[in-house]
Amino acid sequence: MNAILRIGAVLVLMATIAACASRREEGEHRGAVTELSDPANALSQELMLTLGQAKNFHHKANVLMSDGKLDDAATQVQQILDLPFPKHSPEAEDVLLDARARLAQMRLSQGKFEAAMTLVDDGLREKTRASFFVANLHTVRGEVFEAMAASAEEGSEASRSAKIDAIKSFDASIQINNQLLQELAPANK
Amino acid sequence: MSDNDKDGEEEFTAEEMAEAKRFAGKVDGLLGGDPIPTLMDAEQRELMVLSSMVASAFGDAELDAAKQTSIIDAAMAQAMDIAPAENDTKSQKQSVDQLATRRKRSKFVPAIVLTLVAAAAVLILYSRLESPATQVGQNSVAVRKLPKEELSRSSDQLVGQIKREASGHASSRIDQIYGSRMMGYRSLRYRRTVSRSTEGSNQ
Repeated sequence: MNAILRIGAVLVLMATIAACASRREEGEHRGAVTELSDPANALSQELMLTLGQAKNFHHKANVLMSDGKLDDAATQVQQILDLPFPKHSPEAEDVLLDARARLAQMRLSQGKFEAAMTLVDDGLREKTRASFFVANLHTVRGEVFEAMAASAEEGSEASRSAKIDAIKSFDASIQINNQLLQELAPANK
Repeated sequence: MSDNDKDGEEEFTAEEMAEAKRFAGKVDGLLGGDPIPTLMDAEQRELMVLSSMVASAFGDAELDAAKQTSIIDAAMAQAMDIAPAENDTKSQKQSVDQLATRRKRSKFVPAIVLTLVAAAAVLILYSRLESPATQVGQNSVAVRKLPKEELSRSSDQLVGQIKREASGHASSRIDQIYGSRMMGYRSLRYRRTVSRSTEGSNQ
């Protein structure tokens, strides 16, 4: 009986010492290697670089437009669409939609209705959420249809159809704006 | 003159001698391992137990272990007032057996408790060594909570509704977006630098 008690006592002592040692080592390990990481949606250097590039292209286009070089300006804006923005970045989507809207207006001012419409429609297909930039793209789409209606023969089917589509596009824009204004109203208070 | 006469005591009668002989026989029997006779008055029982103990203490005779246990258990049972009637031998034996069993079990309690504690300690140690938390701890990465300004997010709140006359003013809007995000990004970079220098000074 005494032997069993002694063995038990020794086991308890050894296990307690080992457990204490293990805890200390664990603490040292954690202190040495645990890192604090930023969340995946933290602002990144990659995003800032591409936003900076987009900013540069827009300003370069401004300068070129001030000299009346509309094609060259459009080329600069077009390059924004090829920038390697980080995937799933909300700012990237906003900036790309805005570049499309500007480029579509440039094409529209050149009378290139189809090119303008393609830019707008591609942007609306790529969007992942409702935003003021999407609403703006619908507005530009309405403007393209408005211009098409104006260029078509008065009273013609093409003119009527374009006017209907223009109204639909402006309505879509108004609807998105109203929805977003309601959603953002509590955040602005 | 006999020895008894010298001490001033009367001689024992034959009946007393026979009684003493019977009693001595019972004591010898008890020392030899016989059970205590059940039909015996309390005075005689105590005398018999005492005699056997005296004989055991001063002589070569010794009660065997079972007998000792039996006598002690009987005495304990009486003391604890759980003994049944004297003539109820079966239940008396049962209660004595219960006591003996309890006492035997109680001997193992410290050993069992110690073994259980040791087993628990070993299990805790093992789980610490093998737990994924410890292994992950070597490469663990905790996600820092950042303020909204330092996160990538929609520009809607910053830009607001885009009026039709400002539809093509993408250049001014990207100035706004870039300026806002650059402030957040600088703040984030500063936080990282401070965090690293703090961690470095702690190590």
